[in-house]
Amino acid sequence: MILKKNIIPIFLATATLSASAATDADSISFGQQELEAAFGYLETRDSYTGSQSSVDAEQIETWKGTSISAAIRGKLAGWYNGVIRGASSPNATDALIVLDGIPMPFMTLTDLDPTTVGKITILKDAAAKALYGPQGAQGVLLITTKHGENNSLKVKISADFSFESPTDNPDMLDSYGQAMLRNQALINDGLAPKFSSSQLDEFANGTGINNDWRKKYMKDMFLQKYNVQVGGGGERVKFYVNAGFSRETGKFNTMYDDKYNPSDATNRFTIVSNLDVKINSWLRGFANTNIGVKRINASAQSANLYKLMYTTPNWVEDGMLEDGRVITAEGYPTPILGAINYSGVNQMTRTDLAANIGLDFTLDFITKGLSFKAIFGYSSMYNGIRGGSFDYGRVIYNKLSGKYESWGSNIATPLSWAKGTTTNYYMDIQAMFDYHRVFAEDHSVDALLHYTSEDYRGDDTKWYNYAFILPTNRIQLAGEARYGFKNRYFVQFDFNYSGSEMMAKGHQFHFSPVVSGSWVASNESWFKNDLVTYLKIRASYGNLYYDSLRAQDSRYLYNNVYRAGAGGITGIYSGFGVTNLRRGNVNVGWETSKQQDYGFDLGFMDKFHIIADYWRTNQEGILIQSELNPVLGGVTAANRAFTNSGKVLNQGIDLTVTYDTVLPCGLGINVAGQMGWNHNKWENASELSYADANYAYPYRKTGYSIGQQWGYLVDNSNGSQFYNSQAEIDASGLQFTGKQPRPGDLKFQDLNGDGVIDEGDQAPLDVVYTMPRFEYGASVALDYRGFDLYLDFIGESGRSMLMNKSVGAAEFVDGITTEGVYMPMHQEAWTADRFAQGLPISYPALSTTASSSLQNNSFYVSKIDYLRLRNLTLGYSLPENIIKKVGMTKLRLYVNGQNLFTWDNMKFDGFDPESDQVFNKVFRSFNVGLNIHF
Amino acid sequence: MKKHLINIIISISAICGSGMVFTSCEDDLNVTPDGRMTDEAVFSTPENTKDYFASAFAHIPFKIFKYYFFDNFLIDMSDEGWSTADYQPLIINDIYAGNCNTTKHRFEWDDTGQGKWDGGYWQRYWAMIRVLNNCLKRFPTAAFESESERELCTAEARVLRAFYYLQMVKFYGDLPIITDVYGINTDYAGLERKPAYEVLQHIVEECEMALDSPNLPWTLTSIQMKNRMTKGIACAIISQASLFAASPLFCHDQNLWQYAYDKNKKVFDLLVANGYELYDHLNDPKSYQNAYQEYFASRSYSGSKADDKETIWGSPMNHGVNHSAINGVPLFTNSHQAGCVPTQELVDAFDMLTTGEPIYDLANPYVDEKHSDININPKSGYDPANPYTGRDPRFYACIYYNGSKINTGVLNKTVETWNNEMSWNGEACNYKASSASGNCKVDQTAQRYTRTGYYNRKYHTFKVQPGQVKDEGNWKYYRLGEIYLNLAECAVETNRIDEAMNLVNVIRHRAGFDPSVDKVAAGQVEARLIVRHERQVELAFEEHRYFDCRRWGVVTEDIKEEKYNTGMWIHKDGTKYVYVRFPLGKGMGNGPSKYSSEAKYRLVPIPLKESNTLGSLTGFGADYWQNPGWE
Repeated sequence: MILKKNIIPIFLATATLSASAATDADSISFGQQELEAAFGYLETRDSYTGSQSSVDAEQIETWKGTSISAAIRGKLAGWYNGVIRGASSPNATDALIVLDGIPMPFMTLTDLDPTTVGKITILKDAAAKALYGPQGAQGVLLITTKHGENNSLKVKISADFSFESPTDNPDMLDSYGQAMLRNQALINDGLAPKFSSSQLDEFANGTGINNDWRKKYMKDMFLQKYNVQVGGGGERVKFYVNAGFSRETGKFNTMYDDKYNPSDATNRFTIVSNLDVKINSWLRGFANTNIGVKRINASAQSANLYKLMYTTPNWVEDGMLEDGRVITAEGYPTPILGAINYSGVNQMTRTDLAANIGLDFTLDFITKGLSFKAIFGYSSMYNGIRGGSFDYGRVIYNKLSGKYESWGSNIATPLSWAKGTTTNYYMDIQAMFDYHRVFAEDHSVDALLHYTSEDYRGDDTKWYNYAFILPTNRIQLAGEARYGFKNRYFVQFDFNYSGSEMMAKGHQFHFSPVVSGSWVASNESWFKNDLVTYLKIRASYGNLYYDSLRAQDSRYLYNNVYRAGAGGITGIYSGFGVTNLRRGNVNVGWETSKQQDYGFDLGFMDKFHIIADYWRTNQEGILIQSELNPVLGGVTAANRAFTNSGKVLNQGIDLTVTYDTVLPCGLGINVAGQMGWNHNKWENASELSYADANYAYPYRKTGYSIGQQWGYLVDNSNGSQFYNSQAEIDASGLQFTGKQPRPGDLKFQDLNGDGVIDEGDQAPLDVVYTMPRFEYGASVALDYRGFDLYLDFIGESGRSMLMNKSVGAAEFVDGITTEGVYMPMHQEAWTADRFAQGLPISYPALSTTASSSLQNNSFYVSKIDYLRLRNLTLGYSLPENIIKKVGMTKLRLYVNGQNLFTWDNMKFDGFDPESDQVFNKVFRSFNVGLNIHF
Repeated sequence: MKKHLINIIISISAICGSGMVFTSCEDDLNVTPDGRMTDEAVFSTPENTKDYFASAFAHIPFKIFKYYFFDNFLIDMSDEGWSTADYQPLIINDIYAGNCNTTKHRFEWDDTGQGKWDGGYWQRYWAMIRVLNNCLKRFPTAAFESESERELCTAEARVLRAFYYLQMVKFYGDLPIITDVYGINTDYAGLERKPAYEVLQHIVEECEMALDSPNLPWTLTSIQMKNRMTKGIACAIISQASLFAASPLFCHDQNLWQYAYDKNKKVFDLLVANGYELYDHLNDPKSYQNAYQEYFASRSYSGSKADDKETIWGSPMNHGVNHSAINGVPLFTNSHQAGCVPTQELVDAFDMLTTGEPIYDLANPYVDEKHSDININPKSGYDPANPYTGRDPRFYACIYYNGSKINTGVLNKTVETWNNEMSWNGEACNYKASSASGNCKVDQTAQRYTRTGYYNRKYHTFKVQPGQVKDEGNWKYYRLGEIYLNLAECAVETNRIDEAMNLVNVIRHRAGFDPSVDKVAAGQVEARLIVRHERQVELAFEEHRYFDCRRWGVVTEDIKEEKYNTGMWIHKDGTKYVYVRFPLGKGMGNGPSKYSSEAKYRLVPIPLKESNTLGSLTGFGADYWQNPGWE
């Protein structure tokens, strides 16, 4: 486990992929550690000229959830939610995921069992990822599952049990509070109050309806997870097999119906089987299989339930009549009781299969150091949903008649089943020659030539786009050559030559070259000292290409899109029309990505290591629909041709620090930290200048980060942010477009001074954009006489969120709330009385519609800087001499808490920094578990 | 060394091998996409050519109530109507409050891409014009079933393109004339906005070319062809385009009235010679009071109905809802909204039947700017205490008023708009003798009740029961009645007074006026008043008034007709009705009823993004591309 006294440094461990291979790790120096490079080859740190980060099984297994994506959060410098080194393009930026050497175009990281993973590496700079070509240009994530090792047979059993509940479960107002504020909003808008004083009295004295939906229907979830791993082998055969099962249940309080079970349950089985066979002295074969089966049973409204629980006021009646009709209130067509229990059920089965087989020939008989490898990879995903639809009648209590009366047009319907499926298929063939030889001890030569051909037939699951129903074919040739002198100086050249069907003939192929080099100063004889034990300086530069293939609806951009279908009229043939949609541009070409990286690896006393990089990506020729193409030319905005006209500069720093030692007293200490900073900026968005139109800011993108949001700045000149009377609004002399401010609405700055508050006054809202500028993580592991303690933190800063459309921050959000959602904060909303009495006012006057205050503006900007204690684990391993008697090599018990504490500065209560709606939840879990090794 | 040589040879052969794989795979990269067509394919078969041409019909405006959520903005804005959607935020209220700007004008609202409503004209019409430009460029070499078909489609494309251009000029004024197919590499430098009258003259020329076509029909002969272009439509476009070209808003101080008269005279004669005539016979006296009413309440497309020879182009749209829902009376159970309700100004415009005289002084209809009372024309015989008797028959065809009978299907009721409960800041309206109100009372906020004291009746058919969607009056894009009055206006402006009066009188005879009260005018000034007055009445609720009031003025003048509009508050004093005019709008007379009467609203602003882009691409600056008054 993680706290072995002789554990190799986290992030840097590469000696083998096994979790228990650390026995001889001490003998491997930092410079001789093997790093994972493209196509499954390993290279020593000394000779590696690129930039990468990795995390090994020990770290991954500290995460007790089911998702690999969560397990690697905060552990890889430069990795953030599927994106490496931030966004360099507004088009797709996801990293290429490679599982055991095979690209996985439709894999979701949440669906891979962390227990089975031996190592994860991200390839970050041009030198590291160039061989993967256009798909890897934005970064590559290599996942290697565990493999068997020589001369051992290990059986590992683990069991985990967790309770999960939301990190943030805010106080909501009771019926009385909600009704009072609803009345206040109505009165503010000049409408009649909804609740009479006698109704309010009933709410206040507890005789009225007061349904706390969260208390009534939300439950802690229970997760159980079991894995059995068997690994081992001898000289000829090595194997690893994992069987895993997990089950997560019980999100909501449900009632069993005789027709179906609406309770949430997610079951997952995973099988991983990796086999390596040495056939003879020059031929090795391997076969890897990874199967995941996930079955989900859930109420058809499952995805909607948290939302309903926060947007249905407490005064809505709950319950059902004997005849099965469900009670609700006017305006609430989906009563929660009905939504959970009677809205039907979805049963999903998703099967992921990834398999590859290959042969590795040693061609020493041709020339020493030459080998040839061929791999056939296949993966498929099948997702089948059986949906049982069901409906129920609704009733509303009629005060006048004193009876429940039918409401709406829904009636109880018999359960009827339908099914839908999604199938993805991917196949790839790789062939490669590898050459490695050292001449005269000082001259090392490496060469690699790699050919890939791939065929992808996607469905619309991940790309949600008809374009991907068509097969995607790719071919590419890549090569690498490296020369090293005395293990100190290395120069490397990489290239990739590939074709894409995205472009018209003549634009389809491109060649991307990369040069890189490194100097291992610490290998110089004059350098040797005990303090600075390692120093390597690296640099790389490459001109990579990117075909934007993953952007929505972006295939065949060179084509004029004509579609037959609607748009015709009767009278001209059969009423069909051939409509010219998006305009083609035959000159559409690749996005180019000029990537630089400068870094160093530094070690002190063999215990403390720093790996740092400064990187810089100039993304040019970004495909965008230029605004500079006027509609007057007959092309509507959505149909404009794409041109290679955008330009983004993205730069940043990655930093990884590790410290690893065992004190003489036997206390093992292992500290790891990483940090990524990135900053992207549109240099050219082929965008219109609004300078002539008297806009305070002439550009909306150029000069700003990708995803920059705009809004009004609140004017605080009267000390209160609000217009405090109609007279004050009139006296401002301003005109307002759209919603007119009422007394109590936010006061916005007329930035361009034209007397009209309109788009021209909008300003870039403080750091409201897509990617966090800083993300960081740190962990501390201590190990003492069988006890282990692990602490893991993650954090983010340098970004804000605009929350005027976040239910719970805004009391009214179009399309989500019916009659507003009121939080305790809203009790301090502006009213004329509060203002007159000088009471604190922290929120604009409530409204029944999206008031002028709810336009994008700086009031709703909340910083999302946070630090989260993500993992706290305390474990105890029984002494070996005791467990040996029962044949075990290890027996460890532990307790663990995940997402225990979060320190943040969110402006609005009730929000986790990672959720933008009060009903989107991040979960905290408490967990006990057991590991047994034989 | 030998070994190295082998090594090199192997490497080279491996690379070559891979290279060969490559070349053979290159074809894999040239996929046949998913059912898309190439440019060549579009014009390669007769079907595709015509299907592509069909896409140019996609944005023919729907009209009637297919503006944003059923409001007809043009009628709402003009002095003939008021929208009962005014209780809603943002929509018509943005217009009434004068809150439109270059990024947010209600005619340009964002969601137009859906094509469900009218609006977004700038992008829609230019898109259609591009399709037609492409058609006209490719038709000479495109595949067609026959040469006559090729010729017919070419002529049709010209008329349709002229139609779109005409719509644009009416809204936006000066425009560039684009006949090329613009692409991404088009150089816009130096592209000019042509003065509106030049664009309109270009439209006229295009339609005249179509009139020479041997294959383009005068009318359509089958309902299956209902949206196709005809020579009749070409004539109507010529008539309107030339009239607009000569009008003050568009003529840029050129005197083009003789030109307009010539063109109008020519097409008027051609239309009459080719079988178009006014609908002047009442077929169903049980249901309708006069031919005028029956004409609007019936559904006919050009040529599709033997007894309708007046419609030049009728809309084939079935809107899925009917007038009784959208411009309904609360007595209809299916009434969703009263919709666009008539103003007192429109009601006042109907003459007295027996005398043929307007009820007010045409030169000076109201005693004050706010229309609080009228300058009664004593010769008319109008009785202010009994205002709804003895009026022009078209009044009864167009308007439900206090006391009018509804006899549609199962309903046999009387409309009562009186309201004894009504009160507002105005001092005249505090009558509270008895608190009661009629079944269709004036109401300030309810969507189904009138704001003005009147409901719309034009296009309503008695044959359809409320709730049925069937055969109601459809929109008439062009009808011969309009051509009469277009010609009459040109005749007046070129001092052909008698000719003008003759045309007006023909229209009035059809309406039901006796020849004994025919209009005569002492001079051009009086004749102009008479013709304009006649247009207001005859063409009510046909989207003419909006454009008439705009084109008759210049772009720096406020639209005075629309500034203050009124309704009629009727209260019951015992058995007697008391009539009080009251101002419409939120300000209740303190401030204009419609701030959209400001001068800049004569033209619609060019969407900001466009004026800016074009400003920089053409080198003329954003102001050049924006309409006066809009920033």
